[in-house]
Amino acid sequence: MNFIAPNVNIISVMPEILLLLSGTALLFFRNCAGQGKAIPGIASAAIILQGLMIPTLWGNNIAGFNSLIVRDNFSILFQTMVGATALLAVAFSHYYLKQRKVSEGEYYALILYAVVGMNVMIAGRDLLVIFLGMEILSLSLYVLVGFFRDINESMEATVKYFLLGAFSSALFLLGIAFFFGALGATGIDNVTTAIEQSGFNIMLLMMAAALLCTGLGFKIASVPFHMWAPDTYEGAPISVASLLSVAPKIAAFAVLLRIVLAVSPATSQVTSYTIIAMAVASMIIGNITALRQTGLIRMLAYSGIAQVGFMLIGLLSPEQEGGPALMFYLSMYILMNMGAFGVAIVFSMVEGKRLLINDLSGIAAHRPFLSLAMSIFMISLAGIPPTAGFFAKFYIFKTAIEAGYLWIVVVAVIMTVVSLYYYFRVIMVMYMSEASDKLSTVSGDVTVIAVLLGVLAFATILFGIMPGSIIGIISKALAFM
Amino acid sequence: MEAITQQIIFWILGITTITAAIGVIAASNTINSVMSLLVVMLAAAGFYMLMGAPVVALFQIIIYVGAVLVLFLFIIMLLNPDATGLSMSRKLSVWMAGIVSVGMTVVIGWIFWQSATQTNMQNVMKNHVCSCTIHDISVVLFSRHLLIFELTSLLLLVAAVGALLMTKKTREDRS
Amino acid sequence: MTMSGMSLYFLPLAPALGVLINGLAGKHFSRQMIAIVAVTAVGVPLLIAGWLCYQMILAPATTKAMTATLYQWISTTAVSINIGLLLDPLSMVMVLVVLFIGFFIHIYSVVYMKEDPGFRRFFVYMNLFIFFMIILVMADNLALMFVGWEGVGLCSYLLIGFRHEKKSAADAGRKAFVVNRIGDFGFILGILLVIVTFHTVQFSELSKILASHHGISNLTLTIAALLLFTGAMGKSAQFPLHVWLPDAMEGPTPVSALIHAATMVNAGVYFMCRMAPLLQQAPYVLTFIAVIGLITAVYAALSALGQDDIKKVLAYSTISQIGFMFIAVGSGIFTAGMFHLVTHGIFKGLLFLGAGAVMHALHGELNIYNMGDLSGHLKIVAATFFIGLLALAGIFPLSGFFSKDAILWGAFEQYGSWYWLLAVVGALITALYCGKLFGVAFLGKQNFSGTIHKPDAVITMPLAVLAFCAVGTGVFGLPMFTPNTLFSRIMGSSFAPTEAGHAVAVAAGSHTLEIVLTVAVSIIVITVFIIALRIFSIHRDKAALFSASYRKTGEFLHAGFGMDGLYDLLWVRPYEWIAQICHTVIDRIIIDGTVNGTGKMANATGGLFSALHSGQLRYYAVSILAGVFTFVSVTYFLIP
Repeated sequence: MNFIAPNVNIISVMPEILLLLSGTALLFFRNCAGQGKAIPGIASAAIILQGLMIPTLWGNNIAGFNSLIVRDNFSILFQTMVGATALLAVAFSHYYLKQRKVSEGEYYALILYAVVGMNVMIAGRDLLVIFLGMEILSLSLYVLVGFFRDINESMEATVKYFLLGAFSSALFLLGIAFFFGALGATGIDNVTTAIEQSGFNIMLLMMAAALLCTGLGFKIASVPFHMWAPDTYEGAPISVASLLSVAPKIAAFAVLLRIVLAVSPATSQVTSYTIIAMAVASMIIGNITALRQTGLIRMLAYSGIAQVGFMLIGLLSPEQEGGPALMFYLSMYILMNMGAFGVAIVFSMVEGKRLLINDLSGIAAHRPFLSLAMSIFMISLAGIPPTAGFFAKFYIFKTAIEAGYLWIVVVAVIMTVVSLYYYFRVIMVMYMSEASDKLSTVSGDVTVIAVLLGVLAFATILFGIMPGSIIGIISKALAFM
Repeated sequence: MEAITQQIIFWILGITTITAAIGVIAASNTINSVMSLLVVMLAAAGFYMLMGAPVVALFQIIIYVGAVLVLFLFIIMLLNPDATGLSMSRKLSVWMAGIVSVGMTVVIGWIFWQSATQTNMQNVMKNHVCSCTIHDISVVLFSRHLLIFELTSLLLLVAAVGALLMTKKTREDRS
Repeated sequence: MTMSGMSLYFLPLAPALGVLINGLAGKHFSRQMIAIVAVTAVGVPLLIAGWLCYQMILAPATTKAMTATLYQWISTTAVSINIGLLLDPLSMVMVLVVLFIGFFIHIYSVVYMKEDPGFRRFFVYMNLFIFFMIILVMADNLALMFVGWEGVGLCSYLLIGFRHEKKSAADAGRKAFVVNRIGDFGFILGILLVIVTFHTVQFSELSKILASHHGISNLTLTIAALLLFTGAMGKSAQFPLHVWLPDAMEGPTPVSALIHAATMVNAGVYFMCRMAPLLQQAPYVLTFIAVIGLITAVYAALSALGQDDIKKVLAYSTISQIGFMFIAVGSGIFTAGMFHLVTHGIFKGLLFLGAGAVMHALHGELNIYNMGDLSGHLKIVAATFFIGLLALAGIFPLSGFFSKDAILWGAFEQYGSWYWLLAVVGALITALYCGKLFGVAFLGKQNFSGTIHKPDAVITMPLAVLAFCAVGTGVFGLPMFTPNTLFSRIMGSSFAPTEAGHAVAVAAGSHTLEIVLTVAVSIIVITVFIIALRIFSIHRDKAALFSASYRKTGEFLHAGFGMDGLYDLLWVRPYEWIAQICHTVIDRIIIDGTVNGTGKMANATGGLFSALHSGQLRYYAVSILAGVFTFVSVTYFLIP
């Protein structure tokens, strides 16, 4: 066997190299006072730069490393979404870290590494590449969750997350092994050719599909792989929880969508059955358990589980409109969920403890804009028009009905109605309760975060009123697939 | 003659692996548990040899036996988990886990068995006979799997940063 | 786009501006300024609506509907939805009702809420309500209508719980919220079904498809109509989803007048009229609507008889009157339903404002048995209230008479004499409680002590105007006994194709029977009203004796046939039970256990070990493993 130099095509990984370099550079910064703006500045600059680089690759299908990584429009769109989420998380983190005297360099470096991992997951065309991306992401997140060692909850959360994450990674790896056994290759594109020539083992491929769905099901926190989520979100620094609740889901959904699209011609029964089970269970358990939560973050965690259930419905008809519907849902989910977590960060700046929903009592009188923004996010998460969340759900439900899954939509609508209760409870507490003096004054300068939240709230309404532009972009991205 | 020898070695290794694996979870003493794991790892290396992949077997011994398990032993000696009560309890969750694991093993084993007898399986695997010398592995590693190689190094970087961060903080706590 | 097309946008825009100005900058305004902004935000669109109405009447029959499309909201391969407004005679009538009554209630509220610390909040919510109501009414498709539908629901919820420091108010808000969700569930599913079947949600296109040979199965149409009607039932408080409305009276009285009497609760009726082409092709649903309407009309009237809280009487009366509107819808006479909606909106708004004035005068007294002889003290209020009650009881020549008579006659034609008789019983009970209300509260012996706040002109002016309208709007019901009343001429082409059959039937039938029945019912109603008036004012002791001997019945009526208790038993308790189980089993035992416990951990490594200790982690791992096991083993069975 002779060495043939691989076709690296360095352009295909430029954004990742940029992130990697700036992340590694950040490791050398030691700003213990926690006051400087340089470190988050560099981090956000890196994310913005790579975010600017990615769209320049639009429409070119640039492949690198012998097509192990391909930047098609599909991945560009998902990567942009990840970048936007990470940027918001960096901004939130700046405010969260301000109060704590820690060396921030590593913190932001890890966020950048996580973005690299997610980018690799999204653009990877080989299951091994995807797996490695997933592990880079996971390792960064494990450390971020336990970043403040002095908080017990944080440690506990990270241990749980780490052990269960490793466990699910093992399952994913087992899935890869089955995949290899079925096809003799680990490339996703190999499935298509294999199906055409029927040179594959259907049994093993089906098993692989089920196991891969499982491994990714953990990352998106869908039932029955969800139990880590509430504990981890609550134990983690809220800024990390905000990242954790959105970004990995985007990347994992990109992979899921790719895998399902590839294997479903051969194994449609398995994938659709697995996805239906996860979707229905997530919607029911997520929503009903969220009803009784007293902690705000915990409630948001369960709401996230429920939202994932709704998103999974889109995977049932990925070839038709399910794919675009899922992508639209995800992009709107960034707005509303990051927004909700952002508000939680501002409120937790005073308390510093576990934030209860009742702690927000009467906050509307003192913080009208923040409360209004929170209400918009809650209304949107609940899926009430004219917010983005309504249209996201509407689109998903419509595709499911067209694909013939009426009963799932009935379950979903019932669960949406249930969910209104806990989302509106937040609004009710903010507007209709006696003010508690606990949170009455939020100290410190929150201008930037307030502006960000304002933009998010505005976008939530705007995309609810005119979702057309986003849909257009998404359909264009998927047309290339 | 050679085939029969292989068969005999295979069965010896197989029985050893399973017995040792049961030992890992059943041993009440943690040290014994780790030692059983050692046997499992060695037996796995034996399997690789049997399949004609001496390099992989070598790596298996160097990495797992040489590094990972030694680390395990160190940690166990440092933390003394028996004293902190980390030993096995026989609760409901254990039984549930046991039942589910056994069930899963049975299902997966059955499927393997079924698919291995299909001719299709042999067809798929036919293309993948490779002479696993160091040279071949390195060629593949730096050509077809270059990206995977690079990503692994990044993974190690992240792991190193994380490990440093965790331990560094502990030192601060103590001081 | 024409001038009038542009002006359509002003109707929702003005209240939206009011919300923005008062909401964002209102903190720095004086109360007067806030009031001016809020009232202008309703007054200006009222003028525009009047001008548009004038134009519409002048326009030839073919161009009566004005449309304006802002832009395409949603566009997918299967369906595209516009943000578009539609002003045809049907929505014109609703817009006028909303803005006209809304305007006077805004003026009234300026004085009524004068002392309230939430003055600005109140007017922001009220303007927001008007905005969403206009959107609901003027939407040219189901999806946009749903936006308004949810919006008014939200405002109603906020305004019911306006005095949130009162626990009952917060509870009432929550109840309204939950009950309305049941209706919304039907609405959403209905919209989705319509999209899937018709591939459009535009009203005009829907009726076009329905008018053609569409080949859609009857069953689908019936289910769609039924689902949409469920939505209407929730919002319009029809039996058995009516339980929230009596409690909703916890809100400030102008809110009750505007939202829970004159406008929002009638949205269901309007919605059903909008969907008339669909309902026409689902006759079973029409019958179902008629039955629900009849049950509600009679049931709520009986319940109103048992109330002693003046607002609760009016609340049950509202439910009952909306029941009458649904009788009209179910009988296929949509015009009559809309006419009753208009007249009812006016006189019920008047009655609520009158009740508010009485409360204001008596320092918040609500129990009618603690009033008595108010007519001596509050002359204008009493006179206007009396006019409102006469209209409510349906006594000639007030507006209520014309609208109710049309409904009764339509019901007779459609469903026969037994159905008609029951509806008449409902009307008689209405007259009975009207007489009782006026007799107890305004006549007879004085049952209160202390001073009386005399209402000032700003309060009495809206009363007078509304009273005048309550008398005058009957004109639109002329000429009687023909399908060609003034009102239906205004409504013009809205229901022309659907009601053609009905009109022919009326023309062919004899008028004699109709006239005889009308006169007979009128005489009985007037008699009942007068007798009730006498009994409860002059012979109140006898009435008290009578009700004491039938105490159980009285309590039964007072509790609205015990519907709340029934709901508690059927829904609330099982629900709490399930939530409790979810909470205890999933949350408390398995999940919450250590998170709450960790606070007690002393050392830094405690967190690490507590996670391993608790067995929680093991449960989580088992959950993952069990999931995989299920998937894998089912996969095995799916293998071909």
